[in-house]
Amino acid sequence: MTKKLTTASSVLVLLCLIAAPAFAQIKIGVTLPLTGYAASYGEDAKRGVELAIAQANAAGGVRGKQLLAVFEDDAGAGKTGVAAIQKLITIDKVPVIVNGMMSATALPAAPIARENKVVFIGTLTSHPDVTSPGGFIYRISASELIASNVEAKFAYNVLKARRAGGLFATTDYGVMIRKIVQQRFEKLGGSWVVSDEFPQGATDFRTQLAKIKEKNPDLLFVVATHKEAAQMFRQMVELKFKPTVLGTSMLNDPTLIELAGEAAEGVYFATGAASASGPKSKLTDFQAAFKAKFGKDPAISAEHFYDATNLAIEAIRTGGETGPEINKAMATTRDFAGVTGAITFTEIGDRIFPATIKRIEKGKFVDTGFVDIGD
Amino acid sequence: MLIQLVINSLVAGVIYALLAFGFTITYGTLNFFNMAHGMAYTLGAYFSYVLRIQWGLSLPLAFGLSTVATAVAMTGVDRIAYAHLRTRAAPSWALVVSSIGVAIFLEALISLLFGSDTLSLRVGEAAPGYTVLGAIITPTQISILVVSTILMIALTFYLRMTLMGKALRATANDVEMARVVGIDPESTYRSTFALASGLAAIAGSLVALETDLFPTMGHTALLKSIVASIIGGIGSVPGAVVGALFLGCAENFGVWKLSSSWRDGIALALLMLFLLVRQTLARAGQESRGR
Repeated sequence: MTKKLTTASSVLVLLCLIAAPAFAQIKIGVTLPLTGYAASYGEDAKRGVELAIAQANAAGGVRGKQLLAVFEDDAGAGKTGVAAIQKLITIDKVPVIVNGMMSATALPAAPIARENKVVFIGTLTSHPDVTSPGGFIYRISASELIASNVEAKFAYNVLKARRAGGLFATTDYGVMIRKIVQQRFEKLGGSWVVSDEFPQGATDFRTQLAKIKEKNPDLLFVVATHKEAAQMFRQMVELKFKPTVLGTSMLNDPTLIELAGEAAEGVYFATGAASASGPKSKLTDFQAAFKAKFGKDPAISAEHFYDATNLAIEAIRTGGETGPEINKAMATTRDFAGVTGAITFTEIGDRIFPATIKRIEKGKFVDTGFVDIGD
Repeated sequence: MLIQLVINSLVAGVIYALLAFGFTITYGTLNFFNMAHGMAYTLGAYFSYVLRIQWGLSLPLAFGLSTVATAVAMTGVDRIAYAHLRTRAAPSWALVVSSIGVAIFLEALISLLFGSDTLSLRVGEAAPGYTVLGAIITPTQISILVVSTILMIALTFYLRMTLMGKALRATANDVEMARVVGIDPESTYRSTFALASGLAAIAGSLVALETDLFPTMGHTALLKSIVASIIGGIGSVPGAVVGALFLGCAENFGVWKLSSSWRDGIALALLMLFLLVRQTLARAGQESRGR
């Protein structure tokens, strides 16, 4: 029985492989969280990809062929992410993969793509180690090293914070960032008075906040998703705890304001500054097209996935249809006009990307004008 | 600070109590670990969301209707997923496996209908809580405490005083004897399911009011119901309530002393500890009886 099934399925797979080129399609693999904890980021990201593909196909496709996005769910987890990448490489035989926003999935998955000479374009994965040692791996977001340095500098130099506390998720990302920011902040001369943590997806932060409140920091540095942060900010209001709050680019999602309301007022967060320096029209065009197609404003994940997909399409257009050809085109990308700004990569595939700090004012993200390259 | 911790513990504890109550009576009467118990909690929250936010009903009305809707839905689930197994005298593990299927199915269904995004049951802005003896308590927390306490007292009376409550306890005690005295076990099972699910639904709605709702919210709810029930001695109603309050305290006081990521770890450590102690005590009991 099992044998029959195996034969039948291998015949099916073979048929698919033979039949695939007949449709004259170029596949772009996409792994992103569609289930599980990070799914809310994934849904908007998927729309970003769909928009890019639809626009390219409407313009006649690439190299006379239509483009097709193959979506795989990575559940925001390392194990599922590796399985998704392997499926895309071995079964769908995609030459390029756009990867989801979790560093936890990118860290183990990216080297697999490199080994198979498949181009890997990270989106919001900002762990410093994702791209190293270079080649075949690129990313749209800045390495968190930049943003973290900018956050620490802003806290010390502009906000004049001297006693900082941290509340962060116990993820690879959370632990690492808190460490970088703390080191930098202490190096500048501030003191880090308290740190506490929470498991990913937590909804009750009261005990942690009460603990932190006792140490009375004048700045609270938060590494949390917009969902977690919304709860946290509301509970801070309830607990009458009002330090200045500084978060990471994970807060750059309009849903935060929807969920937290006035509790999010005055919160600062760091984000890529390229959209400030890049061509504004590109971004507004994208926002309008997105709203027209999906009836809502795009989140930051949609912007990054849109850019990543367009970069992949452009690299296929200028380079070719195989992984090594696309890699060559990617490496020589100069000032690609993306909605997140002009995109140029360093030798190891990291984006040259200054960071800026934004503030939430009257339910809007407002530029503070602080831009720094985070050295 | 101590008072703040006590309040936080109580608020967590009474929610666990509502959950553990349902879990333990399901185990007591139907004799299986209902792995879909957490889904009644999730369903309750989502029904409340539909009624309150989408239909604009008042909060108490929305919560009441959502409780009834969840109870009805889970009784329907019982008919489809468990009743057939019972009539075929399937072993307990078959019901457990079936309930895992139910949990996965319902969670996927909710994700499909509502998306995986976090939804909010609250309207209006976060407001500073009341200060009581140096501790801070929010209006939502007060309503959680009041509603849960009233429910607990009402349930105790229900189980002791009413015919249905007595039938439930009798069936839990001995199905065959209950049948002999004219109690229909099937109808008792149904009312057990309705009751257990209704309580979990109220717990879910109350928690959603405080910390929003999302499809996977039932996972921790299930874990906490299991742990609280076992600490209190599975099948025992007062035990479950005590276990739940104890769990709430252990978690919140533990988080104060240890790092916060140990919260679920504390629950599981307690679970293991109590299983060990219970086993040891049971063995000691057997030995002394044997002698």
